[in-house]
Amino acid sequence: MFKFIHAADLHLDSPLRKLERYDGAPVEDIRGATRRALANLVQLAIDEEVAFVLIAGDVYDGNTRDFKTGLYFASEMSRLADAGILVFLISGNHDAENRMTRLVELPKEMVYRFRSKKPETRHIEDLGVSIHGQSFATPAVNENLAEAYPRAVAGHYNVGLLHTCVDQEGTHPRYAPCSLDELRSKEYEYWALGHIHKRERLCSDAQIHFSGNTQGRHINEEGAKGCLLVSVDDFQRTEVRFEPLDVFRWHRANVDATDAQTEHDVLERVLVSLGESLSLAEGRPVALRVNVSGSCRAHRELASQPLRWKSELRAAARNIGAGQIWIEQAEIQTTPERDFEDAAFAGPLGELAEYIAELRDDPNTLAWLHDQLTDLTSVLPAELREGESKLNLATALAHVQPLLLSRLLTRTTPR
Amino acid sequence: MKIARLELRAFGPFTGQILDLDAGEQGLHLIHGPNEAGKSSALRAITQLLYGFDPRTRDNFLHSYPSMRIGAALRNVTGELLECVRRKGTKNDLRGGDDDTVLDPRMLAQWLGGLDRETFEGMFGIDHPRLVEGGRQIVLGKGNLGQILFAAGAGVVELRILENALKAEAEALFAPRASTRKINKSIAQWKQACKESRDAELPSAEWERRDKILRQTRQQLADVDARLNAARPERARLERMHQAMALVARRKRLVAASVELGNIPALRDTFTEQRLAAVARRSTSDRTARDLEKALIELDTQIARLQVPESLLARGASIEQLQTDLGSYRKGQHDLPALIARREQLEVDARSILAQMRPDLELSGAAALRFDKRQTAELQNLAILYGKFATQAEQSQSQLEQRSERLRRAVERLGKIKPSPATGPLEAALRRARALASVESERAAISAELARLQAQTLAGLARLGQWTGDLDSLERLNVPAAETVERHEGELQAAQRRLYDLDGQLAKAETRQADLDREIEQLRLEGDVPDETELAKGRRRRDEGWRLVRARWVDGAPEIPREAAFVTDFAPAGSLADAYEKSLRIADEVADRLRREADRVAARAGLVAQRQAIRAELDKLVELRRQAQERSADVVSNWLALWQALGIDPLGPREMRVWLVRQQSLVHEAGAIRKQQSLLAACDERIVAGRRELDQALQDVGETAGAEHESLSSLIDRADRASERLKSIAMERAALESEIAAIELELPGDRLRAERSRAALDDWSSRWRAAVVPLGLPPDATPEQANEVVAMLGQLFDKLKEADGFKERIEGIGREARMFAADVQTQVVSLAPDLEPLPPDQAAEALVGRYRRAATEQGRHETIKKQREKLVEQLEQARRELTEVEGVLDALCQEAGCDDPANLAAVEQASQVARDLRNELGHQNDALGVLAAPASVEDFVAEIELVDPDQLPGQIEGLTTKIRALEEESKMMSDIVAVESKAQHDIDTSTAAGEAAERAQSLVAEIASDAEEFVRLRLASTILREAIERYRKKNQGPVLGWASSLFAELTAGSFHSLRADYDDDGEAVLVGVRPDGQTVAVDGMSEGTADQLYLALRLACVENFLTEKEPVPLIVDDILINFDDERSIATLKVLAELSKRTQVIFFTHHQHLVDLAERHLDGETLFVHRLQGRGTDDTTELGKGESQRKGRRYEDAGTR
Repeated sequence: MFKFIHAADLHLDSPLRKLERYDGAPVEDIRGATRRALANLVQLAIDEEVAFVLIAGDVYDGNTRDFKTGLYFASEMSRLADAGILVFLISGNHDAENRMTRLVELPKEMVYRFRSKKPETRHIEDLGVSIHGQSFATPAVNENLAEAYPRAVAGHYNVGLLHTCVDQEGTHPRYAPCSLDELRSKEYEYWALGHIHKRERLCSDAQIHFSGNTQGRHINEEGAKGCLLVSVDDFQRTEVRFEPLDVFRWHRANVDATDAQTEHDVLERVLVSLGESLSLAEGRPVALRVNVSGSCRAHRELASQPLRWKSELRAAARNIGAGQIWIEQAEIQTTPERDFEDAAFAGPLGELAEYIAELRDDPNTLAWLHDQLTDLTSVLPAELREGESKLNLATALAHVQPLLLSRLLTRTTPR
Repeated sequence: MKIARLELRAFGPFTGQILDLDAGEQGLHLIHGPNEAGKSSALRAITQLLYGFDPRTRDNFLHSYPSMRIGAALRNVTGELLECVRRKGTKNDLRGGDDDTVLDPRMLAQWLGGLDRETFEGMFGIDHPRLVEGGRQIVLGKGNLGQILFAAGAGVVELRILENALKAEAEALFAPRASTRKINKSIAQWKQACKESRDAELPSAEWERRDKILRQTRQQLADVDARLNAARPERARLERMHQAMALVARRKRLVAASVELGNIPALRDTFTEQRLAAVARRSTSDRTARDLEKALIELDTQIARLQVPESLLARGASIEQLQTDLGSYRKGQHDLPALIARREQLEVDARSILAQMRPDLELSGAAALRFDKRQTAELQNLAILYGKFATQAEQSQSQLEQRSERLRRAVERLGKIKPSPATGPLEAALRRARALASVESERAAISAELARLQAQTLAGLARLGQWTGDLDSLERLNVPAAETVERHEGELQAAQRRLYDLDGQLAKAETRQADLDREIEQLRLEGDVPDETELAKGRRRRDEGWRLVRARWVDGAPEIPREAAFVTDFAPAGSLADAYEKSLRIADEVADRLRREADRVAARAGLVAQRQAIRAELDKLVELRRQAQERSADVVSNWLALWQALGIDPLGPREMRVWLVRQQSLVHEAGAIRKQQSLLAACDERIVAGRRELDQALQDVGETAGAEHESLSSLIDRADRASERLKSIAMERAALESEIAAIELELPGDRLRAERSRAALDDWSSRWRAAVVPLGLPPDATPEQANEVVAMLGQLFDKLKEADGFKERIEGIGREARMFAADVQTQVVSLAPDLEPLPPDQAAEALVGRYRRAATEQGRHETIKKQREKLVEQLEQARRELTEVEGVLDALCQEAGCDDPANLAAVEQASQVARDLRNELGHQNDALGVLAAPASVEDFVAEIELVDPDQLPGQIEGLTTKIRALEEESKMMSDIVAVESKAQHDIDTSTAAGEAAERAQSLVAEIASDAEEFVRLRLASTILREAIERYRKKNQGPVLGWASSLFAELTAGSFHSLRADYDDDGEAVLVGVRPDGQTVAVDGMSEGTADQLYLALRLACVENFLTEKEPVPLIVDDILINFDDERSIATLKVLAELSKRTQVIFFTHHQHLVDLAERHLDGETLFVHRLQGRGTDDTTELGKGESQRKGRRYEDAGTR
């Protein structure tokens, strides 16, 4: 029997994104997270005495220019080589884009990178293993690579190594698309796929796996990240076990604030949720996106001063989290609690509410409002000007009414 | 909607305070309370009633959160009533009037016309600080109309400050081209971090470039090293040859010399040494042998001289024994006299002891007195036992006597104590009675509650009104159901409304009729319009004239009276003919006019017809009204009958509904009273039963019966004491009885012990007698006397025994002396007869001396013999050595090939020369071998002999120069390689670039967060500005219209109106207009006027609101503090006017304002209520309310 590791999408030195630093955040813990995840991978391979390690593409980020990243990868590969562990690599879209992939020297005897011209097969005779793979030649490979992969070698344990989106829609680019049936038809004992960062077994009757990436880098890569440790027994029966490698977790904490009277009530509910997230992270520091929703009286208090709420949340997290919690974002999606549904503002407040409601539905006015902000938006970093992190006017608008109401009313309400 | 009744059931300082605000159409309710009366609490209560409690209200200092209640009765425009109670809570906090039924909050919302809390507070609540601040802000804002309208409408005062704050906060975050603002700063830091990240990177191209250099240099280095590797051995070979040249020459010479020397034996290195050693050993051994032979002869001479007496030595053991015995013989002789003296002394002592005891006996007879051990033991034993037996006898006797005495006393005491009855029943009764103590306190509580209820009910009864009688009859009163009252109310209202409607219709019809009359009259005045009747009448009169003319002139029978009348009508001064003519003309004229004025005729006819119709309608209406009036009277009388049957003189249904509520409450209280009474009776019953039982129990144990008036607790006390007493008696008796029983159990044992002790003492006496008589003591001798005699006997026999011991020793010494003398005699006779005459001890001494000397001589002889044996052995050794050395020398001669050892030295010398030569040749060969390696020396020498020695140095130098150059080059390149590969190796693979990138990401996040805040603030600012402008455009017309006239009234005519104007920037601003048309900007107004301006605007907003929406009560809190009387009155009048459209609740703590209002407002509008201050009157309940209607006082609805 033998064991091997299936990993993919290391994205070495890809920075953890959008973690606003603040006093009490575990700033030290994010340092070199992707590298430490790789070091964990290598250590796991050595400890488990695996026969070989498969890396299904995207060792580097496409735009990482720092050659030190490559050197670091080479040094970790040497550790594996020294331990007598073989490594099989394919280049993914990011690797193909990065010059480093060609320049970095890896231990020749022990590490093999598949060519990109056509699929290749490498045999490990003493184990009776055949590994089929093909690298990306260019950053964007739109043709079906799986098609040309050879049939399984009879009597061998066949492993397919492929960087692909399969036929999934989603946020990942649709590279090297192929169908699940196509993969199944090759009759390989195991398909080690890369590219999709979410861990997934694609079907129950065959071992076709995405291992996911080794370290989450932003809130859309939440939960445990790592590799698959595959054990094959003498009858070629395969057992797959997930092994976490990440050193820093991402979680979303969705908190229902329905009926909360005050900000303090909401905070208490959030803290319960924080505790749960912390225990899920198994001792790792964790970045949390807290999302508070529900109809509650505390809405105005929360929505009128989101910054203050965020900093209070951070202070509270610091107290309970022992420096292990990083509040990444505190989203407020609460709605106001009305004593009765048909109550409506009258007079100037009614005018204000009506105006904001009109704005929300009128793209022309929204565009006009956007123009009002050009002085700011023109100097913002590019990623805040476009893409998913772009400043959201609608969200801001949702907070404007509570902000104005809170300010208009708190000064004058007779108490 | 208006608040008909506000019930401050449990809120702030209030408990059960009720304010009846139902009077008047809507009403201006002036609520006066001095400071601390809870005015502001009442104010807060209204908002919280309508919109729920504040989560953290502080009005809980008297009532806890769960018990807080605000109740109210609300009335809407159609007169419907909603009773509700607000609790503190988040769910189901709105209840019906019963404080239990959950009300749907939407219901209350409908009553409020959907008005939200914020608008209610902002628009319908106004107090003095906000008024002043509102005025001030108008002035500070320079009359900006948009802001003013918006602020007044929302009840916000600091709108301008708020707008500025939004702008300032946004600008603190970001400003274009600034550098110190938060976002600007973060962006700069972000750029810096991006740059740092790039700088920390090691670009792949750079790596590639340096890697290439390294590879090339390594290759070049390898080439140079290969050339060096070729040149260096060649140079070494030449150098070796150069070095070997001299060696080769010398080698040649040595070989030649060796051949010349010929065949000389090669002696070993050690040969000479061996030879010299052998020669030396030979001379040494020779000398030793001669010395030993001489010493041997000397020893033999000494042995011959020695003589040893053998006979004496043979008896050595006996002589040694003699020496020993001599010591003991001399000691015995020395001790003898002292021993004899001691023995005599002991005998003297014994005799003296015996004389003390038995002067009659000699020492020799003393043996008869000897006491054996058994006897002594018996005596001692008995002496010890005496004490024990005597004490035992005494103790057992005294114990027996004491116990008997205690028994007697206990029996005597028991006889004196009477047995007591059982306490069980008493205890049980007592336990039950104690349980009743709680019943008693319960009874007190019930009694108090009953009294309170009765008093309360009595007061309620007194206040009820419209009916007299006691509670029972009130309770039995079969009052109409609320539904009945409601039905009657409906009927009454319907009847009233019907009457009202009919009156209206009547009035309308009458007006119409009057109008028609007027129009007809108008037509009439415009000219008499003939009608058909008039024509008919004219023609009839004409025909009548014609008939009269015919009668006179044709028939000749004139009808005189008729004629006269006819003439009078038409031509009073003329004849019949004239009259007829006139009538003819009139008839024609009418016909002509009819024809000519047909239109007017028709109009008139229409009007007349209409009037007739109206009249008919009027008649019908009058009839209907009469019927309605009857119906109304019926309804009223039904209403009255409904009540009068019960002996009640009813007010209107609305009042009677309140009356019914009060009555129901009283009935409810009556029920409560009955319940309390029955509880009280139950308590009493239990208490009486308890008393009876306890009293009986007390009597049963012999206590006196309780008096009738004795209280339960006194009974319990008494029973407690009795029980205690009885229990203690019983305990005492029990204690005594158990003591007697115990003593009786012990007594027989005591007696037995006393008898046994006495018997033991008797037995002892007989044994004692037997023991002491043999001692010569009387039978009654004491143990001490007996002991004394025994002790003296012991001393006597001790002395005698000691004296016997001395005697034996004296005899022993004599025996030993005799035996010694005999021994000495025997020895001397055989060994030294010359000593015979001497006394034995001296003879023995001399003999011993002789023996010692002989022994010494013998020792010396032995020693010399041993020395001689050793010398013989040494001599033999020396001779063997000599022989051996001779052999060695012979062998050496043989080796060197000579006959005589004396020639050996010369041979040795020759051999040395030959060996030196060979050695040197060997050295030369070795040296050459080193240089020749790996070739053999012979080949190497052969090669060298082919070389030209003169060219060799030149060749070597050429090679050296070449090598040096290559080395230089190699070193340079390996330096390069070392530096480059170290650089490659040393590249720190740290994540500096990654960290900087991460920091840049952090900053992006921070910028995003701040930018969001900035966008919020900027949007808020923009939106607020737009909303203000929109509001202004929509509301400027109506609100300004209302405000203009209100402002004129509030300033008592000082201003004529308000107007929108435009300032230099084209902004709409508000200005006041004086009666003379002069405009006054707001910053030109006095503070008071600014207040009134703000108030006018606020009230205008309310008025504007009321034109479209349901009325909502306006809550005004002491806004007139800074107004002079004139403007106060004006304001009150304005509020009174407003109160016709919506309820106005005005809180004040100024009596002065109450007085002003009462003086200047009419009683149908103004209603004054008073909140009593706390602590002003001890008899007044806290928060007790009282309302006052102008001119007459009446108590407000019940305070509970």
